[in-house]
Amino acid sequence: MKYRFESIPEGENEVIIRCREITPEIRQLLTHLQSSGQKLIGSKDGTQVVIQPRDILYIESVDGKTFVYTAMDVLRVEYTLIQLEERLNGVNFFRCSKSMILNIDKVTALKSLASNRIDATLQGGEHILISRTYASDFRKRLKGGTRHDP
Amino acid sequence: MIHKLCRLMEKWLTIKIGVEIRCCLSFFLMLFFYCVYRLVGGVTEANIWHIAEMILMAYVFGWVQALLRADYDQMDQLGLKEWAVLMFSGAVYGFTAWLGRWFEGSWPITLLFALYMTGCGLCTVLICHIKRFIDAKLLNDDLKAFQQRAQNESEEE
Repeated sequence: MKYRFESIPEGENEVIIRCREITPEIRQLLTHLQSSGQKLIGSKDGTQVVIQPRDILYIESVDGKTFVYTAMDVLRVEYTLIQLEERLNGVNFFRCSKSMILNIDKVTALKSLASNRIDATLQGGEHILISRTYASDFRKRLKGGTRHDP
Repeated sequence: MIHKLCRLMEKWLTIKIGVEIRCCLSFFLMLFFYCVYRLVGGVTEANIWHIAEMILMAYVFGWVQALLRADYDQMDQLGLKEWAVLMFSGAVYGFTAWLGRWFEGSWPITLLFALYMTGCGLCTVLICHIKRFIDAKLLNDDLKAFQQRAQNESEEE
């Protein structure tokens, strides 16, 4: 594998990987990049995109595939929700149902529903339902529970 | 397996407790109307069969509501479906009262009873709405405090 460094006078550092296919070596490199600063690598239309946790609205698992929703994009990531929960530990994410992780920082309003469920309105107006099973933990978390609470 | 059984047991207990509470409330409402009716008529005694029928009615109807997911306290809004449930419930209570001759077969009193039970159902829905409204306000206060704390922490870091 060839390496090429390009010096830029200003702007954010950027790593561009040019390859025919993602080999184990490149995957290892991607993993290393991801592990720095809890950034995630997502893909959209075959393009790899770095996702900052602070940009994530919520993460959803659909049919065994995991998708990250930001204000602008929906990106697929190669992690399970459990792995993401571990990775994003320390950031204000909360497992709000069996198939979803919510970024509490992106919640603009909460509404109490019947059966002890909670409706969370996110920036952009999207609604996420916090199921009864997770609602009491969510209330504890808001009241100052540890970040390790599931 | 045991974990699944425990979850099922918890679910069943939650429904059962809800039904019992609603049963007590419905029975109390029916008994109150019945007692007022008897007292206004100058009767100071109650028919034990009528009371037994009220208990049975409250219990059976409580389960029917729970199984049909049409409990008053589970209604998030007052739409067409909710109004239909309220009216239908009032009608069922009225019909049972007429069938059991709780008010000596008097149509106006039976109708008044049906309206009274519908009104009580509506009050239950509204009270639950107010409760959730207050809860939402507290939740939003907690959310704001949480986000403020998180922001302060990140600034310190």
